Amino acid sequence: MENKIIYYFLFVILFTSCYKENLNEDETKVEENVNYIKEGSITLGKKLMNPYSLKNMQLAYNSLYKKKKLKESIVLSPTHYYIRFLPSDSFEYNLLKSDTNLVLFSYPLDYEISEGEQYHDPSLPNYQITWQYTKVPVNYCFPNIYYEVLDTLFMPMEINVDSSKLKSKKLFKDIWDELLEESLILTNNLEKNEHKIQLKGSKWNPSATIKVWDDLIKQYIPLVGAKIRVRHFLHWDTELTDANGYAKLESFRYSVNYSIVWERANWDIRDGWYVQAYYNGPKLKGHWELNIDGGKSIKYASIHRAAVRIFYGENLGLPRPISYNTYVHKICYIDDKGTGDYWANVGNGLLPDIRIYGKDPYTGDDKSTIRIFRTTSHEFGHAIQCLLMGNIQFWQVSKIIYESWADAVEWAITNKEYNDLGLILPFYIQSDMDHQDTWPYKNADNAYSPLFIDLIDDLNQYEIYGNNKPNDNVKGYSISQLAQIALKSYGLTSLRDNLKKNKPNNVTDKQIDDLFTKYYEIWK
Amino acid sequence: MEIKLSITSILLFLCSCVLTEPYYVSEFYIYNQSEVKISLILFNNKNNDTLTIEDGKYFYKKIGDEGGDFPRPFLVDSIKVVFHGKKELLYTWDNRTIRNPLLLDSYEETKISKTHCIFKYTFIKKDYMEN
Repeated sequence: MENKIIYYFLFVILFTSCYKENLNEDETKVEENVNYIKEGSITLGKKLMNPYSLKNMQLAYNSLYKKKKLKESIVLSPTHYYIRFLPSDSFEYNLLKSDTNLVLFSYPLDYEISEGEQYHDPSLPNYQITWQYTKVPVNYCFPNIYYEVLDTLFMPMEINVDSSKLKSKKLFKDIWDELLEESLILTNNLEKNEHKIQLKGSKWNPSATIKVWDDLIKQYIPLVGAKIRVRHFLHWDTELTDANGYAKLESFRYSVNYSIVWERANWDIRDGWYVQAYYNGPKLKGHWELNIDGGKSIKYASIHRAAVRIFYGENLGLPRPISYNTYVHKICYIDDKGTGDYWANVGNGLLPDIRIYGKDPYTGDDKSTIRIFRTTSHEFGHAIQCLLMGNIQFWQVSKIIYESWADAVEWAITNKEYNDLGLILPFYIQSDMDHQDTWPYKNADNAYSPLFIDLIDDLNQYEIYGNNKPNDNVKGYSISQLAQIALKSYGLTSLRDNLKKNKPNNVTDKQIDDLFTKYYEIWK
Repeated sequence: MEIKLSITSILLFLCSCVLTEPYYVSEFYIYNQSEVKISLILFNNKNNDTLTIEDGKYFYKKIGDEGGDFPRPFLVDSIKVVFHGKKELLYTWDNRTIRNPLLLDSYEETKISKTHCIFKYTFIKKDYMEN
């Protein structure tokens, strides 16, 4: 009998200790359903009381003191401000963006909020950059940009540890979870399900798996290197997705708002001319599985794929377009009819560096993902040449050199991207990129030639496509080698001479001359 | 006024420094003068489409693309042309020695502007009879 009672209590203890875990698992199962992009604008719902505000934290502290959960009564000091900036122009906006300590949001952080791709404060005219929300430490040195303090915060766990604040941080470390929970209760921000599982030990790690649709492969592929943000009011964390499109973030105790911010240290994708591109996802206490299938987000993701490969991925040894002063390339996605363009740093950081248009200029239809990827790679081909050569030198280069070079980068990077995904590109895409069966054109711009591709591959279009094509018996240069040669070449003659000086073992000067004959004939 | 002029000239200068990728528009007319109905089966990876052109009629499409060249008529792996539901001809990208509806070179080209061309291709009785 005694044994039975002991077994009974052991069973009860075991069951109750497992209860919280099971509840979490059930929630995860429900929330593990795949999400898809919700196009359009974010809508704001109810304004919420801010649990991190100094006022509410003080009330929470006093409440715990009254319940005799705290020994001493103290007056809390502010640690941060919840603020919003109103940049008057792109210069001010870029100035804010250049402060890597600031985490900017284009929407307020103390509202219920829907999923969506953009938000513009309705009280501001459309042409004006919208308010930028964030928090800053109380000792923050404000730039000369208009701002408003929306609230005073008490977030001692987020102060940078220095000797003067260390004591305060240590003091609140042990009681922080309880204090925040009390504040959430007092401000009516604790959701019903969180009441059940909010006990100590119920911390969880937000995680996300992001995939993007590829029109050519016709399936979702993992999105690598995307910046995932999670946010609980004014407390947030960011992490990059890995090779599987997966990111795991720091632990939280409550539901978080997920989002993707389309930026990295070396580039920044803009929604239009100025404003940061992002996708604001759902509020969840569980894993976020997003399949990007449309909207502006699929365009951002396709631009991002090309940028990740160019800057950080396997890029066939091409120089990375990273300058000495940590220049951030502004890639403006224009959700309108158009092609793509490269601005060659003419705006000195104020204007776009690259613009990628999302709609076909004739039909107005959305462009395919590979089309966006290709154009982005092409424009980065210009960026590589311009950045490493220098602006003034770049503008002296013959058009056939810089456009054929950008075409070669597009061809090489796109092939690499799809080969790594297990796909050999079909002929109609290959030939659209390499132009070997059509160049020289009867009517089109002959600056977009296969010149650099001819130096790499072993196809002689003269033999295959006819005697009006270049006689290409040259092969064996690598694109990384050509980058170095091209960057020293301003026209066909200097390119030809540089190629001869740096030719592979199996290539002769005559073969190079034979190849260049057609290019000289066409590009007089 | 002077300030306005200088701002305009700066903007014009900046715009002239932008490399914009061209956009080309191709209009295709594919005539059927073979004296029988023809079907074009477009093979594309897993998805196949079929176009039918009655005798004496034509198929028209207009497409544009960015980059260096005029868009090709069919972005497919190959085309099978079926004459009168019987005789079949297969066209692939490496059929360079014959007239081939996949290849721009096989089309009669009329230039409308620097970035706009009309391309015409005609299936004739000879295609049906001789091949």
